[in-house]
Amino acid sequence: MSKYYTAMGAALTVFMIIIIAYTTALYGAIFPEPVMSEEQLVTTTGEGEIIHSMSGFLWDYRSLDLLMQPFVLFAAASGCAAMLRVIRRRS
Amino acid sequence: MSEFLPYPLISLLAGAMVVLFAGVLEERLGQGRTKEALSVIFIALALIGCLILYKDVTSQPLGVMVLSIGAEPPLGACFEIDLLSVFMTFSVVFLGLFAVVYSFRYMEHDTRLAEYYSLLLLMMAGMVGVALAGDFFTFFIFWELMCISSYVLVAFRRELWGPIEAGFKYLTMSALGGVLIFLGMSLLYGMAGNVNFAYMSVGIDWGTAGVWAYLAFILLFLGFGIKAAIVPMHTWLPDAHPEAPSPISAMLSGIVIETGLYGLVRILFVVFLPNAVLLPRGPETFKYVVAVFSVLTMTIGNIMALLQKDIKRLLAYSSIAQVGYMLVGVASGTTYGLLGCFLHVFNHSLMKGLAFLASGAMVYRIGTRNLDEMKGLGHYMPVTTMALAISLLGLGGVPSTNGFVSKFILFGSALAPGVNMWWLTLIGVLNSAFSMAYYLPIIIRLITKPAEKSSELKEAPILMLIPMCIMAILIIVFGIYPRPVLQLADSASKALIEGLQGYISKVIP
Amino acid sequence: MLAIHVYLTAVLFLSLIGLYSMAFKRNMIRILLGLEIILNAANLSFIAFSARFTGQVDLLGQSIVVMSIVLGGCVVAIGLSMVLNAYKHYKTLDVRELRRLKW
Repeated sequence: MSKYYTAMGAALTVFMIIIIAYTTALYGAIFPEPVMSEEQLVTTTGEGEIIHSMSGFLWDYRSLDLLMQPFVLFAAASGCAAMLRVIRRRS
Repeated sequence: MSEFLPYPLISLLAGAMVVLFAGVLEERLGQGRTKEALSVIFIALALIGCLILYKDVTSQPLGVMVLSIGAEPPLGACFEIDLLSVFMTFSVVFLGLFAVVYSFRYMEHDTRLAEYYSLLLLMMAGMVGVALAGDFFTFFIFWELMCISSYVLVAFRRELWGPIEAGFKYLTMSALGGVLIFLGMSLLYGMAGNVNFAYMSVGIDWGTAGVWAYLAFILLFLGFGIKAAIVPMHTWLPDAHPEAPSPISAMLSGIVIETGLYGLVRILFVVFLPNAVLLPRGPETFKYVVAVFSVLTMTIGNIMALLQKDIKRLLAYSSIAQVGYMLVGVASGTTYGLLGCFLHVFNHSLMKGLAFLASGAMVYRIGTRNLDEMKGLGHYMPVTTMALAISLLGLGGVPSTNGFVSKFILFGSALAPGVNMWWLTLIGVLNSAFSMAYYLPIIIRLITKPAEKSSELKEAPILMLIPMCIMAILIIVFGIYPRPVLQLADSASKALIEGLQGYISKVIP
Repeated sequence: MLAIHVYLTAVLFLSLIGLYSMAFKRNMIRILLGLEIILNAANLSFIAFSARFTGQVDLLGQSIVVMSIVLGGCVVAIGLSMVLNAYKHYKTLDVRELRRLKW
């Protein structure tokens, strides 16, 4: 009996995937075009120049997020320490 | 005036580092209470910083202050602080102060206290950053900071199986909410080219974006709804709130789920609702979706609360119902409705915080959360019972408590002339009256005569009583004279709706 | 660089796989892996939107992805430490055993 349900579930999933792919191809081809400013868009040169412009962009424009990320890492490390530390009580 | 970071945030982040350092030193020495004292000092500094922030923001020409390091918005990460952000920051730091003072005595027999206070300060820093962020990705980083700290704090007492089970369920659902927000953010980024809130408000071509805008809204609503405990995404809450330590329950129920609601309101009223007329069937869709979820949340929260035997689980379901009331104000979409919503955020943080702290004091004394075993406890713990009674009456909306003022404004806002949702008011008032059916039996059970005399039950310790009494007095005072908080909440909601042009023009001149 | 809707369909399928893994799998670690899959789907979405115009690259999307990978790693670290503690209590990794909290 459960094989019947599994087969029905698989058929339903494949059917839904076909429907979603069809509607996406029909309607999803239209996605609004954004207007981006000049500093964001960088022409790809291909040799590895993108790394320097990328890190320059990160430190110039996204410095606030970069400064707050160590605090998130600190919270994660401190939380893992709190959850996994072995406390030996001195009697 | 700080050029780079707002003062409350600096104070809380620095405090987390210093408190951890002090706590680790104390653990080496074996004894010492410096970390608690330092955490209170840093939260008091954050409160003073919040007042300075309020003065700075109101002295700006448009009532909006933009802070960034390095480059300018809209492309650079920034804090965009208007009066709504200051209101949420004030709520967070205010409740945090009471929770930290309470946890001096409550958590004193626990281990790993250095990490506890440090993570509590980081959770508050994350919430303050969420309120102050002007950029969606900055918002997301502080959101993850708040969430990560809260996962560990819920599962803090890892020696018992309950907090671990509740913590795992909370982690999976809340992290799923976080990535759904991130998915919605990616769709908005694809439409706008930028993740700044003000830029997304004006820079999207809504005509071609019809279906995708609704998809982004659904993803964001699901993501924020998981955190704000909107039914049917609420199932983590009744497990996580009872199992967390009581001060953390108070913080979670009082302000963390309201931060989810704040994120929903911010994204709805800055990005979606001003442009809703450009979408097919726009304004009615947003209004009725929020209204339907509000009805669902209120009703299911109240009905499930009636069936509970565990006091903290009952208060957790009651939190779900109160979030439903706040959604009534959001569904109305007017300044008056948002005034009620944010006033209820502040009042609920006081009332539910006090309810969790008082019930935590009772659990601290008798060791069980079961309501049947709390019969007659009022005779041994009179002050705690009085505080719990005041908070429960406030939650039910009895006049002369601040809960009545905010509920009056909330249910009245759905009757406004442009918003014809009388059924929302009717269901809200019926739910509010119905909720007294599970608040009153608690009070009655506590004040009946106890069966046998027990000599070892005493009143809660004095350091736990002081924050409870101050909060109870504030509930009554703000119920009789609500003008200060009412004016602050009024300016906050006006800054969101009427100050939107100023908000946008600070970033895009 | 294909048209944008191809990448969006891939994002949708990855999200569905991740959601299936979070909802229907019994092993706790597989649930966390499903979470990571959905996060990777969102990262793919950001990258697809940033590389949309031929010959040009949008630096904002990629910098967001770089920072979001770190955040995903933090969440999974906490999740795994919680799974470790759950194993100590329940002696199994089956999430269906974690149903002692009722109602």
